[in-house]
Order: sequence, then C-alpha cells, then structure tokens
Amino acid sequence: MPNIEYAVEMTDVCKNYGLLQANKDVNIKVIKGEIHAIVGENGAGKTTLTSILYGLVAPSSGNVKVNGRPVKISSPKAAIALGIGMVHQHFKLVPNFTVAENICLGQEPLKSLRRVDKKKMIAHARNISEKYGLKVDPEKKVCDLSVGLLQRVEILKALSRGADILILDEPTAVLTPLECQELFKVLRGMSEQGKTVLLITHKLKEVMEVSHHITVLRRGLTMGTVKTSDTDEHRLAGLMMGREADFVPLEKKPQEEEKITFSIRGLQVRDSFNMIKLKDISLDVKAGEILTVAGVEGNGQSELVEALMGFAHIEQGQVLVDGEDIAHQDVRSRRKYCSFIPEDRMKTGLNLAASVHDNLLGGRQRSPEIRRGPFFDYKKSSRLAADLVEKFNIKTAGLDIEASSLSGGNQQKIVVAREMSFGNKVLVVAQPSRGVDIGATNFIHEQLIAARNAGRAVLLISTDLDEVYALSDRIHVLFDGKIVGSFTPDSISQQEIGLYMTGVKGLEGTA
Amino acid sequence: MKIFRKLLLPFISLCAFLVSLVIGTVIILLNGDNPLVAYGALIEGAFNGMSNLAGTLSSATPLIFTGLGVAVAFKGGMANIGAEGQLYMGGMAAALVGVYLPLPGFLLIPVALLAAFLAGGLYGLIPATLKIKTGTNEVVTTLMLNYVAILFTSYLVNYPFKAPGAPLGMTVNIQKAARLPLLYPGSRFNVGFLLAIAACILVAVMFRYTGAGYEMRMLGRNSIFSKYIGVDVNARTLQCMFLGGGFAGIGGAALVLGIQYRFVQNISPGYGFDGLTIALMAGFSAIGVIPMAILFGALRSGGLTMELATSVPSELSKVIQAVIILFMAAQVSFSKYFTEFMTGLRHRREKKQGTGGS
Ligand SMILES: Nc1ncnc2c1ncn2[C@@H]1O[C@H](COP(=O)(O)OP(=O)(O)OP(=O)(O)O)[C@@H](O)[C@H]1O
Ligand SMILES: [Mg+2]
Repeated sequence: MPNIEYAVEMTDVCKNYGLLQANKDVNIKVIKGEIHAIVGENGAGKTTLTSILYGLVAPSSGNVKVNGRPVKISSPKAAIALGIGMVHQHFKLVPNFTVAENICLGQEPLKSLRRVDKKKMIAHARNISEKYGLKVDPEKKVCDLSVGLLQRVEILKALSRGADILILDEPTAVLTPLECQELFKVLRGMSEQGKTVLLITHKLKEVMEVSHHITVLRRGLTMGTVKTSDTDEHRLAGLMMGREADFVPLEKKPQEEEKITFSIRGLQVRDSFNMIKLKDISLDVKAGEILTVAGVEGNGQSELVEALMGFAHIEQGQVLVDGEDIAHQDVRSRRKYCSFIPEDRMKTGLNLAASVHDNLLGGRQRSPEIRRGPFFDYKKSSRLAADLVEKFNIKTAGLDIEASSLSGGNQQKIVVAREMSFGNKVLVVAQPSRGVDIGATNFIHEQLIAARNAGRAVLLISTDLDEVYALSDRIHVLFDGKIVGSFTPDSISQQEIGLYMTGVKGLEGTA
Repeated sequence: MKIFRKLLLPFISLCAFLVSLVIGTVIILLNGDNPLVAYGALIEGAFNGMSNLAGTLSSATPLIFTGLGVAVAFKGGMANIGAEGQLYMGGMAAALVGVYLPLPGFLLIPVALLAAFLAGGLYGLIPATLKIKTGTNEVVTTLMLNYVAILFTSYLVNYPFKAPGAPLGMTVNIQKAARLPLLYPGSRFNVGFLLAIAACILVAVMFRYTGAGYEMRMLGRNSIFSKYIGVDVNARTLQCMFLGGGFAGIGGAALVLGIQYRFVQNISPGYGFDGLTIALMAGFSAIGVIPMAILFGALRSGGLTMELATSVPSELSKVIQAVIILFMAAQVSFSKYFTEFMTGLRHRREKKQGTGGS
C-alpha cells in the first residue's frame, strides 16, 4: 500500500508515575482521516497515552510524529497549534463562564483592543452548535449544566478550535443512544472531510460501529492494532483482557415480595433559579426490585438524585423508607437506610485528594466496625478497604495513595464498592457503570442484581439503555421533570423508549 | 525504594534550608562580614549551652501554639490567617485571670489557660460563623480581625486595665502563682513548652484516630464529598475554627504567663503570622509543627546573638525564613519531578541490561 499518510505516529512511548508504568513502549499509528479507536480495561493507559499526545503529560521516553513530522508536544497550547483537540474524560470547563465564553475561551472575538464582542461570541457558539447538531444554550452558565450538557460544550470547544485531530476520551459514556448516533454522525462527517478522530470508549459495540482501526492496550502495553472489519467484539474483549470474555448474566430471582420498601410521593424540587425541575414525581420500589428512571440528561435525573441524597431542598412531597418520611432528614440519617452512588464521582462521590483507604471508609467514620473503643483501628479499616479493593478489582498501587492517581474507571469502582458495602435496604444508583470497562460493568451489574435478589430496593438512574434493559424490572421515563411513561423492559423496544425519553411520545397523557 | 520515598520530603526540606543558607551567605558577604562568624554566632546563640537552648525553646513555645492553631483550622478547610488576633484575645483573657482572679494557686494556671483557649476559640468562631451564614471568605475576615484584636486589647491595657504609672499600655503583673513553672532556672523556658508538645500530639491523635478528625480532614479537602458521606459540615467548620483559635489563644497565654508576666500592648512580634508560615512548612501536620517552630525559635533567638557578634542585622534571619518559604512552596512539584527522574533512570538502566521492566 503506497504512501499511507499518518496523522499521528507514536513509537515506544513510556510513561512512569513514580514506580508505576502507565505506558510501556506503546506504539500506535493513526491513518489520516480515520476514526481510530483505543480500547482497554480500566487503568490500561488510554488516558495517559492521549494526554501525552495533547501535551498534558510529558512522556518518560518515546517519539511522537504528527503529520509525518517529529514533534515535541510540551503543552496543550503546542498541541492546539498542531491541530490537535481533546475532549477530556473529566470536564475542564470554567464553571462561572457561559457556554459561549467557554467555547471561545482564549480565542474570543474582540470588539476593540480589549473588549470582548459578546454578541459575536454567542453567534459563533450558536453557529457551531447548530453545525454539528450538538444543541446547547450558549448563554447559560456552565455551572448550571448537567453532566450530559457539559460534555457537549467540551466537544464544541474542541471543534471550535478547528482541530484536525480530535481526541475524545470516553465521550459516549454520558450520552443517550440517540445522542451517540448524532455524535457518530458528526465524527463520520469529520472523517469524510479528512479529519482524524482518536476515540476512547469501553463500549465495543460503538467501536465496531464507528471506527476504522482499533488499537488495544493492556496494562500499559500495546496488544496490537487491528482493522475493524477484520475483528469482532468477542475477539477484541479477548485481546483487552487476555482471556476469553465469558460473561453469563446473573439470573434474576422471580420477584415474590409485594412489600414496598422505598417510595416517593408528589416530589417537587426547584433549582437555584427557582425553576421547577421535578414536578409531582411519585414512584414505588418494592423489596427485591430494580426500578429504573431512564431519561436524557437534563430532564431532572440529577435533581432527583440530589433530592434523595439530601443535597437539594424538597419543596413538596415525601420520600418514604418503609413508611418513614426521610424527605427532611440530614444526609447522615438518610445513610442509615440508603446508599447513594452519585452521578458525579469527581467531587461528590470521591475525595480525590484523600487516600484510597479514606475514600473507601467514607460513611463508616462513626461505625464500630472500624474502631476499637473510641479510636480508629487501622488494622480493621485497612482489612475492610483491602477486601473491597480485592472484591471490586480496583487497580491501585496501594491503599494509602491518593484517589486522584487512579484511572477513571477505578475511581468509579471505589464509589460503587463503598456504597454497595453498607448492605442498606435502599440503593439509589446513578450511572453506576459510567467509565467502567466491560468486565467491571458486568461485575457491578451482578452486584446490583445480587442486591435485588437479596430483597433490597434498587432505584437505578441511567442514560445507558443497554444497562437499563439488562437490569430493570420496571422502567419509568423522565422527561422535562415528569414521569411520562412506565414500562416493563419486555413490553417496549429501545427505539420506542427513546421516543419517550426525547419527548416525542408520552406528553399527551400527562399534560 | 520505600525508604527512599520516605526520606525524600525531609531531604528536600533540608535542601531548601541549605539553599537559603547559601543566599544568606551572599547577603552576609555583601554586608562585609564573615559568614562563618555570623552563622557561628547564630548557631551558638540558638543551641550552644543549656541557657541558649532554653531561650530557643521558650521562643518556640508560643510559635508551636500558633502554628498548631493555623494547622488545625487549615486541615479542616478554614484558611485561618487570624492566629495573631486570636493570640491577642487569648493573651488578654489569660492576663485578666492571672491578674484579677483570686483563685488558689493550683487552679489559677488551668483557669487562665482555659480562659485563653475560650477567648481565642470564640474569636475564631466569628469568621467561621460569617462564612457559614453569609459565605464571607474567611481569609479576609480572619486577616481583618487581627487588627481588631490588636487595637481592642491595646485599648483595654491603655484605659480600663492600665497599670497605674506605666509608661505604655500594660496590665500590672500577674500573680506569682499564675506564672508557668520554669523548667530551666534563669531562663523563661517553662512547662508551656511541654503543654505545647502535648497539644500537638493530642491533635495528631485526634486527626488520625477519631471520627471527628477524619471528618475534619475530609472536609478540608472536599466539602461536597464530606456532606455526602454524612458530615455535618457547618458544625465541623465551627469546631475546627474553635480549636484553631483556641490553640492560638493559648499561644497568647504562653506569652503572658510564661514570658512577659503581664499583658503589654503589641505583645506579639508576629507570632501569629510566623505560625502561618510554620504550619505551611509543616504541611499542616500537627507533629510537623514542632520542629518547624523550634527552627523559627532558633532563628529568632540566634539572630539576636548574631546581631551582637557581628554587624549583620537580625533581620537576616527573616530573609532566611522567607527563602525557606519560597523553596517549600516549590518543593511539591520538585519532588514529583525528582521521583520521576529517578525511576526514568532506573528503567533506562534496566533496558540497557536487557532485563526489561515488568
Ligand atoms: N497522576 C497520576 N499519578 C499516578 N498514577 C497515575 C496518574 N495518572 C494515572 N496513573 C496510573 O496510570 C495507569 C493508567 O491510567 P490511565 O488513566 O491512563 O488509564 P485508562 O486506560 O484511561 O483507564 P480508564 O478506562 O479507567 O479511564 C493507572 O494505573 C493509573 O493509576
Ligand atoms: Mg481514562
């Protein structure tokens, strides 16, 4: 094959974090104009590799070529100058700025020498937002956006910088299937225009659907690059994990109990601007049931979880656990009956600056399990933490290292491990497998089904329809702060439920 | 390799200290003095002989308390720049008890210390309350409240509690029984030092081994997470500021009951601000405060000797302190770079030997 043009060539790239080798002699060649996927388990080194390309992380050794020319990329600025853009796994936006300001950050259109042309900025933001079909209000402040919308802003920001090579680190984790399809359309369009896309994702289905070539990483090593048309999900999973993926979903016990453990009655919640975000939400979760609230980001799921956690003021309504109203209790009292997996792990679910041990301990600081007399017993707590690390296969260099140095998926596993470990009768679980690899997703699903089989009430909030269908006993669809439909998974197709989630269907009945 | 990691931080602290000595040397040379003589005098003045050592430890005593007061508050997420003011309030309270309360001897000191703790602690509650109720940034309020406390105590000792006939604002001497017992006669080195050490150990144990300590540590780093795991964020904020203010207040008591034996206006030569530096250098570790405070005490008391022996002004020790702070601030990123560099070397060596990394 004569003169294949490579947009990116990375040879023998190594990256050491202290004693840990996140990348070991990684080799990857990305053909210009292709969508190139990078897959691997949590902690395989995907984020590290792409961060090197974007100049965020300095490689310990190795060479990088961009468009055939050897380069040293020492900062994101240098990367942007080379036409490289990146959308991070963890958002990097200025919370107090508007969407438009974030998109134009550093390249604001100027009115005069010093004054920023706000109108132009908003017009520009609206323009590219429409051009790529990623809808978001340019005048909204970023801190008021849900995770899903933040994602869109990040993508728009990179696109607006005219990136020729776009790196996307797990962009689809927060999107609905429909939004995914839209994103893929955007990516394919870019590819047709000769732009190159580097895509990291854990969802092999997506990889098979959208990419041209796939590079597999395992424990920091390159396992090889394959042509997408020459492989399948099964073989990829084998390459990633070093063994055959042999997942058999845990059997759901037939539901016997009719006892309602957890219920919400007429819940109404407003946001900080006094806008009603949840209107008259009522639902019941039986013991031994997984009830799912499905919906597109921004329709009230975040508010629902926050209200249940005790983070948002409940204006009206009740939250009942075995008949007791906990709507106005503080967080600590709620935790006696409920465990929470919040959708945001960076700030809420984890204390990134604290050790893995301290993170796994959260919520138990007053429990006799880890004490001797009035004092902590570190032997007990370390054993508890070590057990969770082992059980949930959290890849960490030790219990006493900072949680921030773990890979994204392993951070999520800490949250899940901790919250599942209390044995509470109510589990409120938001996006439990976001950013987690296939093996770990299966494991988390297994744990949730086991909790259900053990008679616990699980309220799942998820945008991932595969997850919704794999787990739910019943599904409620949330749209614009209201429940617009209730189904069992076998009574409705994914396509149709998508219509309810986007408000095409369902509104007539509730208006 | 583990030992290497453990030693890395102290090693870098030492480097910072050495570099600041080198810079000090340059200044001494520019001043036309012999650095060896000057540093000799400084070290001698600080450590040579029991009486000099006692002097160093006695000036370290209030510094340990203020350093601890800052460290506790910062650990719990309150940027307490107000140790100076809390020290003044505590010192004033201790002086009033020491002067006026007709208590039997064995009670006088504990009551005076308690009064100092309460006064400093309550004063610390003001910025904490403002932060909780109105969201006011505590950096600003604690800083401003320093001046309020300095001026307020200055008023008290110039008007209502002024010692008759005194040339400047001061109380009369405290009762003999209120003086902190000396540990080395002929100096002002007293049991306050032991109390300070005990306080540091107590705080360290609290942070490491109690639920309250865990909650404060978590709160200091991430308040949203803390709320989520069931911490009463407001209560803990108040508590850690009360503790921090209280310890700084006892620092004032240590000055009044242990060194001056009365409250004099402008009693502190910036012990509260030194406490901030000390806490920073100690990485807000309660135990780490002790050696840092002793180092600062040594620079203080040795600096005076140096000034007497040479023409180098004692301000030089201030310069040294400033340079240390600078290097401390740079240390974190430096140590990261250093470890990575070392492992990079190791991997390269392994590759050359063909063993490969695993
Ligand atoms: N700043 C850091 N300090 C120390 N170790 C780190 C740091 N960043 C990453 N690591 C380690 O490097 C390894 C690779 O991490 P990386 O984030 O690249 O994984 P990943 O493939 O993106 O995983 P995930 O799918 O979970 O996001 C992990 O073991 C992680 O713990
Ligand atoms: Mg990652």
